[in-house]
Amino acid sequence: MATDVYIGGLGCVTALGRGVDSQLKGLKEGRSGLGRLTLFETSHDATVGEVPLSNRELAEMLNLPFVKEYSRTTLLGLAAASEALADSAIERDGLRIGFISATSVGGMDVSELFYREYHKDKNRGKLRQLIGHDCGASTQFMCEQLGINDFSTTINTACSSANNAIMLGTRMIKAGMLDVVIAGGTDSLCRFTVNGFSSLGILDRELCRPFDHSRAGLNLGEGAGYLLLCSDKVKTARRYGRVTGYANANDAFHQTASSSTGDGAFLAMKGALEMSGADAGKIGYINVHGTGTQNNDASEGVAMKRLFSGSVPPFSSTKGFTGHTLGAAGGVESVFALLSLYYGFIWPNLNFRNRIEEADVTPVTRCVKAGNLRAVMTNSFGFGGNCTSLVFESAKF
Amino acid sequence: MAGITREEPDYKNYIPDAGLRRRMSRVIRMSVASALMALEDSGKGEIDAIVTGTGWGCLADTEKFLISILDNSERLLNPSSFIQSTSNTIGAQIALMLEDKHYNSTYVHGGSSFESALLDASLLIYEGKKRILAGGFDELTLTKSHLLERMGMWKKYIPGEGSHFFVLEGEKGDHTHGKLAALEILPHGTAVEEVLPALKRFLAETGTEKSAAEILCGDHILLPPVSEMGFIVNDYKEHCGEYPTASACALHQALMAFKEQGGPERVVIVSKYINDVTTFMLTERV
Repeated sequence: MATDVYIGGLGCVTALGRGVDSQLKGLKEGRSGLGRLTLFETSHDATVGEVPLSNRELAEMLNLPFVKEYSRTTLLGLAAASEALADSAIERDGLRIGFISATSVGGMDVSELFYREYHKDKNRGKLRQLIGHDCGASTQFMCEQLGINDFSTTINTACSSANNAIMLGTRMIKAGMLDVVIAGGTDSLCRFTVNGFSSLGILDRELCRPFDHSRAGLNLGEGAGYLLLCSDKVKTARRYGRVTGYANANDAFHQTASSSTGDGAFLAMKGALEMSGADAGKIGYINVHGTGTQNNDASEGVAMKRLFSGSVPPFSSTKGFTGHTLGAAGGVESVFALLSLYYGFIWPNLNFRNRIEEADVTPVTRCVKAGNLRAVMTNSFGFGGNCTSLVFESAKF
Repeated sequence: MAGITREEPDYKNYIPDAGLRRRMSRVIRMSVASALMALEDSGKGEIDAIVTGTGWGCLADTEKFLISILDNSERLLNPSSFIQSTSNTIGAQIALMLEDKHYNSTYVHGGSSFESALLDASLLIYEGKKRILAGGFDELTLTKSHLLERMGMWKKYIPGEGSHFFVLEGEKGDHTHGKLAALEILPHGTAVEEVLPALKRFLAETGTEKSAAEILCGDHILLPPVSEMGFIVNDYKEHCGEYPTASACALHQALMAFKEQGGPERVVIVSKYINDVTTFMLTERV
């Protein structure tokens, strides 16, 4: 008999603000956090989802000395992970606790400052600025600050990273290796990704319009989202839900593009659904990946039609609130999906007008009160064909 | 310069598409090729998952894109290096070449990246999966080497790099080289003086006697005390140098030792990358 894995704490920081309450408020009000990029100088005229806090403010909030070498990825991650831990109110004594974090940019925001100097002269550049470059460095720093000693690792499967972190955490608890895992992801905006997505021609200068006929690309975002996962023997202040399904599949089609048949997305959603044992009708809400690119939304839409045929559950992309937070997206959107499940709301898909041609699916566009949600799904797909879907079920029933 | 790759295989045999081969950075080429070698050696192609680990990631492409941002003032950039800069590129390329739609994940946790991949692979086997392709790789670029030199690392360590892949199965088969019997990653922040007691505990818990086991040690501080304990100890980094996933090379060395008649029954691998965590692996002859 496998152990049930519960979600006993949430932590989140995005363009909607700091803390889970800010997310809940923004989502209910249908208020987007997107705006002009102000964090750093760039020649790109980009609409992004910036966290409305400077690195100095984040460091103060976390009682850390303000040193420029802390990457923003680390600061955002620590803000959200410590919130999840505090929210759960667990008694830590005697529990084996792990920390599984996802990031795709790591300390790039600081290392690109180093590289600017190094590029001019190979003897220049402060080496201290490289301490946080490797993705694992941010996790290890957060781990020390959180006082977690039993296990830690870092996952980078690009934009599906955080869903894989949650999946691994769940599997380790099920296998009896750990009692508690804080799992999720963090990524900050940086020149590297702004230029990268711009070079691919998939940044929309206007507000992103996921699943809309006129969609023209994504808006980058930043933030962090973590879940405190635990076995049934661990007492927590609340039970936001249970993790009952997960699946990781690969589209194996192209390094960056999704297949028109949506194979990866289909297999991930199908696998997670089957594992949960829920019939398709039980899924009351899907927080879709829905980046707002032509390719992703068409592919994901086709995959949903393939799996659910005529009865696609109510769904929305929340990228219109936060932008695409890359490696953090699965963490942030798992928090949103769990807020949906726990408080009984379906979040609106902002900026939608007309359906896309390839898939006949329409997202929910207004915040809807949905009393008895039993199960929700969340999707995160990334470069390299990595697709991971999760199913959360209510702990109330 | 023990660990710098001077001779590379003829990649044509593994990646016949010349265009693809040219687009791949060195770390992608060597990793994809070593993954295909492991599959070939395992006797058949079908797998249930691809799990990889890398400490440094795809440095060459990351740097190439950074340079293009600076040199072109953020204008008209070629996306190729950006696309290939993410650490999961290798796992993704292998999936693409094999048209494999199964589980695929990448660990990027410094000196325990490969161990994290092995842990995931073991968990997949425990969950009932049959065959897992797992690997660890890092490429030492000129810039990385120069930066580590500026940090004073090459005064103490031998520069290294490499890529090693393995096929893990839940049951012994005709092609089995050995058994991964135990794996432990010490917590980050474990004090230097606590590492030797932890190793002694690991050996005791796994019933590893010095009469039947050798130790491959990549932690320089532990070399003398472990030798004093009476074990045959070899510094595996003499062959591969210092890099975050060097333990994958040690695992390869352990499995090769089992091929020899009269070789050890067990090999314990003790790994540590610069100031990172220490890890232990127990491998057994089957």
